[in-house]
Amino acid sequence: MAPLVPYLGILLKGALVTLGLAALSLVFASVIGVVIGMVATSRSASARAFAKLYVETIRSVPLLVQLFFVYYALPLLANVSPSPYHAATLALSVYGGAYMVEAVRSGILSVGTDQWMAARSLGIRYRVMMLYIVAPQALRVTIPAAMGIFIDMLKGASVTSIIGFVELMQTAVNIRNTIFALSPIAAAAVLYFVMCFSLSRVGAGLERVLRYEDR
Amino acid sequence: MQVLFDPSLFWNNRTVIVSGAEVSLALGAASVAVSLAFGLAGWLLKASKTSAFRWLGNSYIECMRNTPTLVYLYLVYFGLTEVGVTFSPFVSAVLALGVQGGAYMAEIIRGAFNAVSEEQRQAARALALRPWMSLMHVELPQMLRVAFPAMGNQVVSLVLGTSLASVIAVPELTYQSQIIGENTYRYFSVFAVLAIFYVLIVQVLNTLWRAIERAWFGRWGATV
Repeated sequence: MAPLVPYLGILLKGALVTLGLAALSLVFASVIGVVIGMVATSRSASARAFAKLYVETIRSVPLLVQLFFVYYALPLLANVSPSPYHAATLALSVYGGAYMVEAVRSGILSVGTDQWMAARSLGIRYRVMMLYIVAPQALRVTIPAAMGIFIDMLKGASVTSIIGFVELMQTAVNIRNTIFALSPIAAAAVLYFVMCFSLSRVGAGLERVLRYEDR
Repeated sequence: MQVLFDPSLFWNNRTVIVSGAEVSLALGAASVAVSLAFGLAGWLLKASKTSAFRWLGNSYIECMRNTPTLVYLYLVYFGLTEVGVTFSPFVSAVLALGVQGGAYMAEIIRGAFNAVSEEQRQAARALALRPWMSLMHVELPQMLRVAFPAMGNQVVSLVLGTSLASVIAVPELTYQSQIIGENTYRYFSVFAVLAIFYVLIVQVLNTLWRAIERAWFGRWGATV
């Protein structure tokens, strides 16, 4: 353990990079989730089919393959060559977005159709109804699910090390290759555990606060 | 500008691609088997009456669920050589994926056990079935029915997880695709087809799973 001590600082920095990447991707994933989630609950069958295609495709392809696609194949398609960081953010956002769509969709569907019909019969417009009637209730379902997705994205961020983005996992592997000991990997495991476990506790707490059926 | 999609690429590399797909599927199947064993063990520990076992089961499940798979791949692959045990990349990957998948499996089994109502257990006891007979003939069949869809999702995520084994040089399909890509620079063709391969595998697994579910539990309806 002793040779690890000088490296603890950069390990912590790696953990912050991981958190930053996951948080930024979560923001983008939430935007995707809300937009496509509304498409997924719209009345147009073809729009719903499009949303389903996006969700099913992303969920049926490993995150690593999506990262490879963005990092290696996208430059051949369009004249862009994303840095590992940009590729990681894009892939993780699109990946998390697919799960977010499902969270938003189940949130919207948790609001009973009688409320939709009541709003419509009162002549309330779609946008107003969504914002003031559906959204506040849907969030009770969506927010706890989003916490779970955030934890998955935090763990998924480790995969971005494979395209050369230096976050916590890659930092640990680099240190291991310098001092030839297992302790950096174990330390990274502890850091991941601390981050994910505390987030999951927060998520469980939120779920308790937001639940209202059995009150 | 080269052609974006080049079918001849796949014909020229067909042996490598087929062997890669075989390794991917074998890795997936072996990981599922290991995760079932660890899932049962984890559930038994967590459901134990001894608090030390319960603590052990809880720690196992929480540790596995709150850390990324890559950590375990590296720990098993680098770590066991350090204590003098050397596994092939394939075995290391099966262990890492299976042991981590076991934690999710344990939670699925626990959920299924809790879903079988207490009355069923009491009824079995009232009919003088011993606890293990009640488990075998009354509870396990119903647990399987409850757990089956969730187990299907877990199988899918394990199969998708096998792509990570490429980092410890298991010659599965993602690894082979990377090599073909590096040699030919036809990254678009290679990774597009790789993605389609995974989509197809997932579709086949889902269809198969639903067919088995209908065949085994179709008559039960939704009742447990």
